[in-house]
Amino acid sequence: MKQSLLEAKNIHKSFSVKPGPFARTLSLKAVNGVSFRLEEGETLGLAGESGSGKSTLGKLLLKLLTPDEGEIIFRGKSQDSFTARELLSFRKETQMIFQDPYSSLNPRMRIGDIIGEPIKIHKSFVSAGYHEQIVALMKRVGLNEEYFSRYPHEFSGGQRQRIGIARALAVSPRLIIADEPVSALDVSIQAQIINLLQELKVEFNLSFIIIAHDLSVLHHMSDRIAIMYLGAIVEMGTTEQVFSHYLHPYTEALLSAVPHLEKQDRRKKIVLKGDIPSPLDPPSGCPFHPRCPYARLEVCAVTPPPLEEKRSGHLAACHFCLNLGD
Amino acid sequence: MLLRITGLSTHFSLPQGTLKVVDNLDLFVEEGETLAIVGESGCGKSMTALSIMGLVPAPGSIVSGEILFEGRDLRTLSDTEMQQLRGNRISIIFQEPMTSLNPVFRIGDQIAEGLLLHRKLPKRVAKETALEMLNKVGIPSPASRYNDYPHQLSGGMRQRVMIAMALSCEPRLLIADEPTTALDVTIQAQILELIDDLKREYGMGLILITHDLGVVAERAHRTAIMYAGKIVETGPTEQVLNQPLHPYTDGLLSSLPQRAKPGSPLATIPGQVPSLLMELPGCGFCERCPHRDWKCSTEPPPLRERGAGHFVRCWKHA
Repeated sequence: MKQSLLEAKNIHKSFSVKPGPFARTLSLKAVNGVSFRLEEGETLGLAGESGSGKSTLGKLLLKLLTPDEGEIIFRGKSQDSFTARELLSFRKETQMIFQDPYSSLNPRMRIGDIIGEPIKIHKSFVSAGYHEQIVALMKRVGLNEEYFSRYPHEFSGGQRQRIGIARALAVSPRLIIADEPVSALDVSIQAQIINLLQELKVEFNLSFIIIAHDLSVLHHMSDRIAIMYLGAIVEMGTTEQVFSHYLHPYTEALLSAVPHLEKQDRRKKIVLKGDIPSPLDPPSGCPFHPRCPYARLEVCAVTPPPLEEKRSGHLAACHFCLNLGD
Repeated sequence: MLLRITGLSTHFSLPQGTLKVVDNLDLFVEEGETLAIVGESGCGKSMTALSIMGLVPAPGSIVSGEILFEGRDLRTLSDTEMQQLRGNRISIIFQEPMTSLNPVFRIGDQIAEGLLLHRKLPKRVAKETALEMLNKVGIPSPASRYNDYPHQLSGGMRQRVMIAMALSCEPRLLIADEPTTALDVTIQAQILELIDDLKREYGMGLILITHDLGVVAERAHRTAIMYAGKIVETGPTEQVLNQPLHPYTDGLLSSLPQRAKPGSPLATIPGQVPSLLMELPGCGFCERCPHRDWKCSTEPPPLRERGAGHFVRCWKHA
C-alpha cells in the first residue's frame, strides 16, 4: 500500500473544565476516537457544526496539542517518536492558515517580516536572496511588492488572508491545514481566496485539510469529506459519495439545511430539533440519537455505532444507514 | 404600504471628510412581505436598518430623506414618540444575541420589560405573556427557562429569546440584521423557519439583511442589492437572482461555489469596494466593472425600471 502523508489512528483528546467556581472538574471529550488517512496531493474537507471538535482535531494533527490516546503518523513516522530534528522538519513541512486574518498577524511587524519569519526560523533560504524570495511569494499570492514595509492594519481582510497564505507557503510545506480560511471574508473576496488556494495546491503539490462549516466551499475544494459530530467522524467518503449518496442522517440534515439558490438543488428541509448536546454530558449510545428523525431508541440509545466501511471507501457510523438499499 | 423610504441619505462626518454610508436610498415594504437587503460589509445595509430605527450612532446622522411608516414620517417624530414605536410597532433583531441581551437580567424579565413599557400590562399578565412568547419561539420548559440568564443559553436559544423579545408587542415591521450569521447551518434553518412562521402568523413586514444569497433565494419576496451606499438593483427575488441586470449582482452570483463546477476556478470580481470617503462622480462600481464605458466614471447612472418592479442602476440598462 502507498504510504500516506498523514494518518490518524484512533485519537482522543479531553480537556478538563470547571463550569463554576464551586463545581466539580469535568472532562470534556473534544475528539473521541478519530481515524483517517490523508494521501499526498489530496484535499480532505472537515465539516461539522461548532463544538464538533474539528478545530481541536486540526491542532492535534499539527502537534500543537498532544492526543491523550492514539497516534498520528506523518510520512511513516509516529509524532510521539519524533527526535528534535524531526520535529523541526515536521514544523516546516506542515503549516496552518487561520480563520481570522485580523488576529493571526502581528500588528507590530511589517508584511515582509511576517512572511519572512518562517524562512529565518527554518533557515530555508534560496539562492536568489531573502528579500527576493519574499517578493516572489508576495507576487505569487497577489500582493504588490510595494507592500513589503507596510503594517497589517493597512490591509483589508482578503489581503490579510493573502499575507497569511504567503507566510504558510514560505517554507515549502507539504501539508497545509486551513481552519475556516474564507468564512470571515465577503463573498466576492471568498472566491478570490478559494481560487488562489486551488492554484497553489496544484503548483506546489500540496495536501490540504480544510476545516469549514460552509458545505458549498468544501464541496468545491475537497477530494474527500469527513463529517464530524460531537468529536467523532460520523461519515467519510469522496465528495461525490458524501454529497450525493450520503449514508448518515446527520449528513442528510446538514445538507438539507444549506440554503440553495437553485430550486432544483433544494432538498426537503429536515429541521433538526434542539442544539448539539453538550460534549460535557454526551448522550448514551449514538451521540446523534436525540436529534435523529430515524432513531430507534432500543438500539440507538444503547449501542454506539462504529464507523464502518459501508461501500467502497465510504464510511459511516450509523445503525440504520440511509440510501443503502440497492 | 407599510414602510416607504424616499431619498434617504445617512452621512458620517469624520475629520477626513464625509462618509456617505447611505446615499439617496429608496425602498418600500408591504404588509406581510419579506424584503431582503443584500450586500458586502460596508455597503450600508446595517446603517439603513439603524436609520429606520432612529439609532444611527454619532458622528453619523440622517441628512435627508423621508421614512414613512404607517403614514407617519419617522424623521419628524420626537425622541419620546420614537421610543413608543421602537420594540412596539417596529422591532429589530441583531446578529450577535449575546451583545444584545443584558447579561445581568433574567431572560423572562427582559421579554416582559417591553410589555410593561408599551402595553402597560400588570406585572403578572406581562410575565404570563412572556412565558407564552418563550413557548412560541420553541424554548423547551419555558417556566424554568424564564429565570435563566443569557449566558446559560446556547447561541440558537439566545437568538430565540431575541425573537421573543422583538415580537412580544406584535410589531408591524421586523428588521432582522444578519439574524443567523453567527449560528450553525442546522440552527440557522430552525431560526429562519421560526421567523417565517411568526411573520405569517402576525402578518408583519420583514426586512431581512444578509449576505447569504441562498437564504435570500429561499425566503425573500423582493430583493435589494446594495453597493457603496446605494441600491444598485432591486426587484422580485426570482428575477434578481435568475436574470440579474447589474454587473455587480451578476458578479456576486457567479462567484458562489454553488453555481460552479467543483474544482473549477470561480469567477471573481476584481479589485475592492471603493472608499466611501472619495467623491465618486460616476457609478460606484465602475472601477471593478467588466462592462464599463467612458460615461460610467463621469455621470452617476439613474435607477431605471426594466421589467415589472425590477429596477437597476446601470448605464448599460439606462
